[in-house]
Amino acid sequence: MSMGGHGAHGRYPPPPAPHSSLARPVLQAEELVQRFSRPPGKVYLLYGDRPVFDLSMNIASAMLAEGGHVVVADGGNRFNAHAVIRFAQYGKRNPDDFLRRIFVSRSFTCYQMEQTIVNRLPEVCRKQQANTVLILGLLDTFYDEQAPFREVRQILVRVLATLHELKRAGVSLLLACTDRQVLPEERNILFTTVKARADRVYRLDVRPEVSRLILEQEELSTPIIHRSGNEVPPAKGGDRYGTYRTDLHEHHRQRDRQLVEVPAGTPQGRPGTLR
Amino acid sequence: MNPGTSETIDGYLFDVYPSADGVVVWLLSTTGRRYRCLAPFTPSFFLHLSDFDAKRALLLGAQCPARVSFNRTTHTEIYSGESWDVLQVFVHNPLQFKKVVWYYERFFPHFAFFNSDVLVPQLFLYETGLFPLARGEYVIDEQNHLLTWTINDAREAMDYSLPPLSILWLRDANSFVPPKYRKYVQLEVSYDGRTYALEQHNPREVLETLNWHLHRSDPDVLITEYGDSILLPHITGLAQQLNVPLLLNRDPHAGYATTRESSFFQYGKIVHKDGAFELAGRWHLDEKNSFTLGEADLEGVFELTRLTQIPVQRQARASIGTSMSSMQLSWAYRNNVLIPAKKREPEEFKPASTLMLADRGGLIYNPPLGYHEEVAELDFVSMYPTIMVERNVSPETVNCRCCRNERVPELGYTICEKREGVIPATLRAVVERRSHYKRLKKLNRGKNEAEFRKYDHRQNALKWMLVSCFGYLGYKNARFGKIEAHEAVNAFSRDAILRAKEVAERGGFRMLHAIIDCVWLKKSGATEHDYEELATEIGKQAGIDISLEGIYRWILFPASKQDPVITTANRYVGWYRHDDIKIRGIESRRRDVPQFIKTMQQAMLDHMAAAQNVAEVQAMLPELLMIARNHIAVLRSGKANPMELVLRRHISKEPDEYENNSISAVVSKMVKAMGVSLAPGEMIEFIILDQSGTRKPEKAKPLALYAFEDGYDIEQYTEFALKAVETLLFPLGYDVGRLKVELGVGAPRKAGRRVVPQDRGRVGVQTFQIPLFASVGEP
Ligand SMILES: [Zn+2]
Repeated sequence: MSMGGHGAHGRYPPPPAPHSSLARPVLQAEELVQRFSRPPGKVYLLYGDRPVFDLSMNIASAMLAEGGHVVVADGGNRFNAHAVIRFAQYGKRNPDDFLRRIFVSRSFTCYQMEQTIVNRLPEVCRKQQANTVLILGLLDTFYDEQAPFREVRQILVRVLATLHELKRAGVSLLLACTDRQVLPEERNILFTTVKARADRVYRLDVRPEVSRLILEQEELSTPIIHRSGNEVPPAKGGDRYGTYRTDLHEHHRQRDRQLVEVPAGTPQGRPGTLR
Repeated sequence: MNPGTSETIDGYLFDVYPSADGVVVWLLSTTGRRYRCLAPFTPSFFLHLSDFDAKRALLLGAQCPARVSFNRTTHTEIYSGESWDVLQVFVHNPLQFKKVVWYYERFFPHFAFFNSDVLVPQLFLYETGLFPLARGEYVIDEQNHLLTWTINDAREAMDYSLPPLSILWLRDANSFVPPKYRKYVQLEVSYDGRTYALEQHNPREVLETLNWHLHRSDPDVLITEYGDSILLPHITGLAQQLNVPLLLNRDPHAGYATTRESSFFQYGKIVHKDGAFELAGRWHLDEKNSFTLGEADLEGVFELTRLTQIPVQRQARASIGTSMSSMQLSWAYRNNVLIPAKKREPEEFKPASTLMLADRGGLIYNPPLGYHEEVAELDFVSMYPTIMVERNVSPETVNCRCCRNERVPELGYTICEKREGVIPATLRAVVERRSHYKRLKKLNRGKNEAEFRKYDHRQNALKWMLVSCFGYLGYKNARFGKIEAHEAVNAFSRDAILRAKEVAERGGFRMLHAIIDCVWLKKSGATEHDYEELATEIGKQAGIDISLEGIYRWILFPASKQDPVITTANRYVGWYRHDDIKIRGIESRRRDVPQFIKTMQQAMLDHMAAAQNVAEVQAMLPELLMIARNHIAVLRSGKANPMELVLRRHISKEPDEYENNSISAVVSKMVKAMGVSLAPGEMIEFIILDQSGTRKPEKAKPLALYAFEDGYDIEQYTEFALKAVETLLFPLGYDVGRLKVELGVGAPRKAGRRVVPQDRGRVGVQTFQIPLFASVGEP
């Protein structure tokens, strides 16, 4: 399968350049797709210029072409159904079939994003037997100043824990986001955190003359979840997070290393919360 | 308590604000006396926690910044309808309410909190069922403690009395440009029909004179222009500097309640909001910082404040979203429903195929280009609110967990049959009130001017709520909002328009144009009676009332700005047979068009009032060209009044963030260089000196710096004028190029627009997307 010619931005990416001045390997998108699809169970980060979303849509379409189901959590209104249709048409496949197998939820606040990922995503993956998840603009809603930084960091901890939980259950997750400096400065640590927790990090570098996909970080041996579960350093002044400081999903990981059914739509649908 | 020491006041609830022991309540008696009373009140919020964490919360109470107490209780979760065990946390010092919430937020995640971000005065009003301006008998003791009350009034009442209020106006005597652009302000005060200039020699004397006027008139209401952003911050700052205690507050124990200005995304647009400067025991209302006051006067503010239970000063400054939200919060209190601190109900996962269906807006049929006659306009009455109320569309009722009926057309979403949603429950009153006031307004037209205006103001205040309620449903920060509810309303609205089209075509009418809730129909020889009958039939079929707005003598659907062969929705002008004109989207109605151009276009339209049909419009062409010629001649002689050439734009960034050299960039940088700070969303006013920047590098000048000898860019303003003429005359064969030749204005440009014969437009179906969500961080 070829990734060429589908994206709005022409070829993704160019043939690999001979290793010369580049310290980091430059890759073809095929390589990313292949690595991402098999074996399942990984968290990849793809970041860079805006076309990361076009590329992500193509990767999702490639997964659909292989017959599976794909789930998309969209935090930046980046989902583009037309890209899926174009991809299907290009491969002489039925676009409606593709559109019926890709499930989307859009979030406009980080609170919604948390709810989508922590409480809804595991369920929809199981229900649809999808083992490919695309998260578009994971942090876009986290940069909203109306959400206090302290809260945003805690949400990210819970979100990342769920993503890695899904990974353990055999789901491959691709997080796509643009490379941007955000203000206030302190919020840049959110991206650093996401990057540090990804198994592989790819950067898409789009230039007029040549676009490149660069592998920035290979599989790390860092354990997925620390017992403390608190990768994000606490704020100055040492806020305490009480019981939520510890790994939220410890109990069901200990039980059987399987996901636990989360009832649909219960805002408090967190295992261990009594009603 | 000894009953002999109490006093009963027949009067109105004037104001509420928190104090250390409860809330301060101001009462205005019918005899004109003012009372400051204290009502004991212990505000509370709720925590939904596991048993273990609930125990921790109790223990944490010991280190809390204010005294707290607890109660275990059950409340309803809105989406599931389930009863939840919650821990109620009472805060014994209402001034510390927020602090206590913040304290607990350090220990528990945001989703454990309910009712925690509501302001104390509103909590008090929701819990007691009181509302601002409520008329009743209030019993107070000797120490002015409010003991009890009997309300002889109702929030739902549509016929209510208001207290007589004394008003003092305070403004800058020079209102030519806003005070922020000026180094000095010249204050003047007006009350009891007289105006006094504060022309003392030094600032101390000015302040003392202001105090004297405040003391003498003791106003209930202080109305200012720019009081929030400039005047009051400036005056109080000066008073502090010179150590002159001011009498702005009626309550000597209270401070001023201020908030900071802000810029934020709303419905996809960046908007700027001035801060607030609120007083205690007296209302400060800023005419330049109150949408409702501007649209619906004090009468409109009073109507809303009673309905929403938001105290007057806050209500006057509140967005429509805040007002709607407050009605929903009040409903939640009355129904024991928990109010989540953060909106977090996300979109349900749905296949992209459903998403594509659901993501469309209202239905639009583009109109055919040009002039048309014998066209009637029919409007669905309050379409969106009616759909929400009649179809029970609400975040918790769409795709509820208890029913399955796939009632929403096309999308197959379910609507709950077991409970009424919060949106219909709160909106119903607004819909009913507005139609009641519209009826009374009509009854008083030409008979009682004061009553007519009163009901007009009230219905207008409510109108904006109904106009916005739909957008708010999908707004990302709406307290109770959900995308599926928004999509369902759109689906119902598309269905209604399609039914209208079917019914009309069955009756031999042709649909020329449709936009969401209005249709334009044509049938040769059809009378008003025919259209009335059609409206009745459509209303029956669609389940929403539709009314005949009128039959046009002629109506113009002008060419789109981008492409001369097509038209755009919601841009039209026409004269009704009943001698009214309706204008949408063309220059004379646009805020970003200079007054001079508007006046010219309006003069042409006024002339066209006499045309009974399209042939008569065509016959007027020579006269219309003459009107344009006369105006453009004034413009080109350089003698146009520059004040009529002022352009207004909202800036989208901080002045320093502009990287290009656009007019907005140039002007906002000049404003900044004057030492005036500008925030995104704020408006700039300027006159173009040289659009090209070749003769005058500054391109344009802010109004505050403009001098008459600066002149204006004749060619650019001529271009604006020609475009406005073209809007009306393009279907008659005149584009900008031909107009230039005809009016003798220089050589026609190379890129003149093609002239197309009339009625060659396409009728296409397309969907219209209302900007819905503020995209975070979008450039
Ligand atoms: Zn139901």
